[in-house]
Amino acid sequence: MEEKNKLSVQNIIGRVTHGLVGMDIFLNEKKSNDYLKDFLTLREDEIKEAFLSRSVPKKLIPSHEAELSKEESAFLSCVRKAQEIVAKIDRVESDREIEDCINELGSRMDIIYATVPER
Amino acid sequence: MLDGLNSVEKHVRTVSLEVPYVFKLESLEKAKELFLKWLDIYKMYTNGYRGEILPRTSRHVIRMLSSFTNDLENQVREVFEARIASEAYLLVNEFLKTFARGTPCCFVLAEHKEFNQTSIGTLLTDKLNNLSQPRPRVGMANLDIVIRDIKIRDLPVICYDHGQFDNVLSWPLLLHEAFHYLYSTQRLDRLAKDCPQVSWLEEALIDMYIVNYFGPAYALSLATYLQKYPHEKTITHPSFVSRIFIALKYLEKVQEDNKLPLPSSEHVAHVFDYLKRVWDEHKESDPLEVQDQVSKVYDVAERKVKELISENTLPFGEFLMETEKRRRKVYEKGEYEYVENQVLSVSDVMEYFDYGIPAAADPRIIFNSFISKGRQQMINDRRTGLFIKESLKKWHLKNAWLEAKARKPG
Repeated sequence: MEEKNKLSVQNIIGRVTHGLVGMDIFLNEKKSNDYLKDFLTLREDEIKEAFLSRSVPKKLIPSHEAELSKEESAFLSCVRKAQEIVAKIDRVESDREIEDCINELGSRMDIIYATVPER
Repeated sequence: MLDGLNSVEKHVRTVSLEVPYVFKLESLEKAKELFLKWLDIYKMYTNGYRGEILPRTSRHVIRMLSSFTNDLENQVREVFEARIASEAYLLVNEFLKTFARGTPCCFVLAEHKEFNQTSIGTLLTDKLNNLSQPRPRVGMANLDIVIRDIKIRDLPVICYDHGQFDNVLSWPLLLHEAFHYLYSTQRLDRLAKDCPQVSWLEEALIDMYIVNYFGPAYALSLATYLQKYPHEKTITHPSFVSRIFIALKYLEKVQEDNKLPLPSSEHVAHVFDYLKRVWDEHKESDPLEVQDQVSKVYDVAERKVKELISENTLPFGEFLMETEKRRRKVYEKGEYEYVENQVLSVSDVMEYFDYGIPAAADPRIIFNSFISKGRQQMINDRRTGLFIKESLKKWHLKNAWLEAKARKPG
């Protein structure tokens, strides 16, 4: 069960990273791409299930779990905001808006990485 | 990322494979090849992402792939740094050799947080499912070929609970995990016909199978382990109480049949009492409905389980009687002085143990020589574990010698 949860955390990390990659590629190519589509399909309940659900025991290291709980709403709203931008990315007028989104989402990912194993 | 990959690759390539048994060495070599192919896949991803123009986000990609490499390194450690004694390989190998219908079966043991069974290909697929959509756009042509190759050469990984690495008496539980592999490869779901369709049926049938094959020693290992680490009912597993109930049903039938030779018939009574005590303490937590389902599964499948065992060897009770018969024959013919002709029974093994001499007996005999009340009190005696390990080694040696002799011309 713990292993399954770790995999779903990796899945979230992978798809948010795809969002970042997709936005980066968009800034260079000025057209939508598969990475962005993958990020758009990420649902709020998937994030909650992977990181924060209490229904599955031994989810994360306890001290990190408390820390992550505090970040829950910030991370979710950050992903939501990024998805709104990605959804209408073809119509975004300034690159600045996308770059800000990359920076903000990237910072939130730093916090998530503090709770999962990293080399 | 490449630094991380290179250090893991170096670790896999230089991992020490100095092991005494050829079949174990072959299995570890195969595992090594598969892990290196797995690393190739990560390299393909890395190079693929390198082909993208990512001035702002390459840091995040490197981080993501690095964290996945970390998992791979953990899997490698679980296999190559497993602390369980090599003789556990002998036990599992004998089991798989008996039931894999003559085809050589490679496997590896891995130190994990629980008893479990998986394969290197399955582990890889799980990881890739979290990595592969969408793939990098560059250099992915060979990826599917490598993944297919890993699946073709796949290797079962039988995991033991890391807390049990030095507890030899928990080894029979490895057979349960090994049987999961046979259950899927030999399509043994025919056992499930006419059984109540419950989600944990496979687990229950495997417990039935192993207890009928390995006898009371398995029942005792199971109850001792589950009492220490109880688990509730999950989708795939019946609760620990139900699993003990299955073993109890077996012991009850063995006692009813009353066919086991001494001293095993006496020992069974002790094992039954122990399991009954554990079950009585916890039975309230299992709904009556579940107990009924377990009982029904046992009654419906028992005959089929025994038939299935008999296709390859004998169920435990019959095996014990057959061993006694063969032993008597050797004595009658006066051939007992030749070590390779000796057939050892439970009472022989107990006597060998008292003299401190390892006994070249069948693993089922060895483990079932430690189920009496008196022997159970010695469960934490290091001598017991050492004796079992050395006996398995001696038994393996004897068989290897007999096989070599049979191959020798003339």
